[in-house]
Amino acid sequence: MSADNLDARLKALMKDAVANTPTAPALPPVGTAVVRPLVPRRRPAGLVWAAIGVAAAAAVAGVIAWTNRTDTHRIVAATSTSDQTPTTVPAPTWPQDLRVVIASDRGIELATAEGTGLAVTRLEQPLEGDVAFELPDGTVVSAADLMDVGLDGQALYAGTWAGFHAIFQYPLGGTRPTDPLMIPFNGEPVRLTYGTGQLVGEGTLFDGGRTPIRTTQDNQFDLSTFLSNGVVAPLGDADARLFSVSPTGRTIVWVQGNTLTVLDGHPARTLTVTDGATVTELDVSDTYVALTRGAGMGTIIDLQSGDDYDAPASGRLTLSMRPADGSEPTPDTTPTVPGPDTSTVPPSTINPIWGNGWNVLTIGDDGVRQRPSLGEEVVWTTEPMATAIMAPDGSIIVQRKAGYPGAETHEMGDTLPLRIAAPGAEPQDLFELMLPAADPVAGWYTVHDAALVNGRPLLLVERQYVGNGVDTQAGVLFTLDLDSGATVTVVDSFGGWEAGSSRLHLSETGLIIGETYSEVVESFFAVALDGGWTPSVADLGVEPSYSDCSDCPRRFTISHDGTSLAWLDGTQLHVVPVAGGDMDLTYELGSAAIGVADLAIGDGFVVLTYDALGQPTVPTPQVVLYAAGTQQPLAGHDATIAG
Amino acid sequence: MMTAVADANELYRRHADELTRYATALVGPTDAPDVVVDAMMSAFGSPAWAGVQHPRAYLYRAVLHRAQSVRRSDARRSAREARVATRGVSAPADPSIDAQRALAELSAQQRAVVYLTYWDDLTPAQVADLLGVSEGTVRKQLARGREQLRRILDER
Repeated sequence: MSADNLDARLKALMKDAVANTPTAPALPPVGTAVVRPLVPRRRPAGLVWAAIGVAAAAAVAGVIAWTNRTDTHRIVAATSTSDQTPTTVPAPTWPQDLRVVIASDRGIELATAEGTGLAVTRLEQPLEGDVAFELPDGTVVSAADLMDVGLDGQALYAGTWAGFHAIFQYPLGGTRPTDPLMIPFNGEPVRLTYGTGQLVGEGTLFDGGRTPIRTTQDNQFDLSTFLSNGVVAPLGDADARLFSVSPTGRTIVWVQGNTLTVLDGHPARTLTVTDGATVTELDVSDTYVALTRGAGMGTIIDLQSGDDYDAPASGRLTLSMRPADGSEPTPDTTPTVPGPDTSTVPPSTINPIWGNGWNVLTIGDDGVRQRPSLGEEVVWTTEPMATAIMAPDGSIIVQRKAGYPGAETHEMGDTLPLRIAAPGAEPQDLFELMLPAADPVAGWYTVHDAALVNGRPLLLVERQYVGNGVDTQAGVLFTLDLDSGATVTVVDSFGGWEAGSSRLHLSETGLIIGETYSEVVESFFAVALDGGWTPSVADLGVEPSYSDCSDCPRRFTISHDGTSLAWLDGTQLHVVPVAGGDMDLTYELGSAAIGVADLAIGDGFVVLTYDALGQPTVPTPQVVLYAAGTQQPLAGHDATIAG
Repeated sequence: MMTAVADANELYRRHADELTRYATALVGPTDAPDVVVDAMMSAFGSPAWAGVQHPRAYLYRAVLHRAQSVRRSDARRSAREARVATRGVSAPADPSIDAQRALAELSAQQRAVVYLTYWDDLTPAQVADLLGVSEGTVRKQLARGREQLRRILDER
């Protein structure tokens, strides 16, 4: 087809493509927020009474009635004297199981049911800080810098560390440890919430914008809860905010506009809130959510019925953790929890639950070292190595040199994989260990990855036969079973002269992901060891290949557990679930994305290894906690995730 | 002096048809209205809107960005559906569907470049201005798009 002919056909194609262009849609009123609730908006019938409740509470705010308790002030809302009784809607009754703590410059107040009405009890104990909590035993606590308290007695405190805002975790009223739990904020700390086995809140990113934060029970950072509900960082002002978890960890909520999302099962559901923009804080139990509204009156919403109750007074609202068994609290006997003692800073005894749970092998001229984010560095060998991969049994597989030497001068024998059984142990020829009866096939070896696949500890290895600039035989990609020594060919014609691949990543699900190149054309590479389904470029929304393009989609990888795919596009990191769906988490890595030779993704972090790009030395690899917006340089020229 | 809101409404009124046609080329007629509305609301609601120097170009980019995210979702959905789809479905007779299927083989940016070149008769420099990318990128995307479409048309 000639160029002219092609142009004519493309014009005709375009004409066909837009032949069915629909009528231009009308826009919603510009300047108003577009809210698309997942469920019909629902307004409880008690709206009138809610307004009356506010009025009534305000009417009695200045009238303090002393009760038979000599050490508390009791304020009884005068709903019974209201003459605005509606005739058609029933009066909302403050639920018997609803206990709300209100912290304000008035002090600490407890709003509870009394008879069919509402009683507000002002405690004598002073308010320390600006929020108070009622513990399961009825104890009411407050403390300077206290952010939240868990059912297990652990508490989160705001503080500073080396000049940065930081969050500390330690037992309620205990001594502040040396090390903070996290430093996730560029600005003022947002209140984080503490649920059993997890922490939920939000932080800020490198380049602005907010991100939700959630830890999981195994102390790993996990955004999937939010991603699966369309909450994708970076978040703007109009996006979801105020992420909170209940003390049991069973309920997570957040608000966006006038929509409250409740995640207490599948799928997530939504409730409508009034004046969502005025909500400044959420505190959630498994039954209610309390909405603090700055200096205004807050609201408590029943998560099941959607009924709402206006707080009887302004202030920061928290929901009692006391079981709804009708027992009386004993607030008057409880001392205020002292603030953190900053004069004594013993070493931390609290295992941080978020932010630095990574473990890598660094490879350099000084050998191979295992660097966990916590704990001691382990020196596996001081001998310079080219590659190091942790095997499923905890040993490491290393190579002194890898692949065809190109301009370097190493021999095929230098590329034989070696096994180091334990730190400090002598490297042993892996093929000699695994294949004693046969000489290893001569070739240039590259070890890509290792994983336990269907119970088999597999090492992914490439062998090439390139010599003097010509292919003498097709290269091969194969797995070596580290228990049995069995080898299985994965690709029988792989790479070659001016062709090859980036480091390939093998997941525990048997998927191999990476990219291959042929001269200047780079292509997405995906193979399943069982020959089954693999993700495709269509799944990722990328092109099948890119030519001579340094910032196109590249460095495709898969997480070790096989759940997440990741790649770089320009300076952005994309993370998507292997299982599909519409989630496409994007993070801006900035200059950290330039010159990346290998991308490895862990749980909430990536490890970036770099090319020399003409520099005399290879930039050191680094760990980037992408959701938290923190990064840490590593040593050596290469790094791989260790377990 | 018009307010920003009046300004936005007037701007949209002026460009609604061309933006809808552009969205149709990018994502097809079914998704085009949603893409346009979402893109406009996103653009008009952005704090950056007040400082936009070339509103028409900005709106074209907004539509493209929205189309890209729709396409990513659609691509994954289509792939999933394809995996369970029954073979042997008869070929469509509608030339517009045929054209949409051919365009679906291109990336969203390639579609945008091809559309602006062959429908709006813009030069690579003009396309580059409109999309806020370099002329070299436009030429590269156009070449790839043309090549891809040539192959598709040749196979028919």
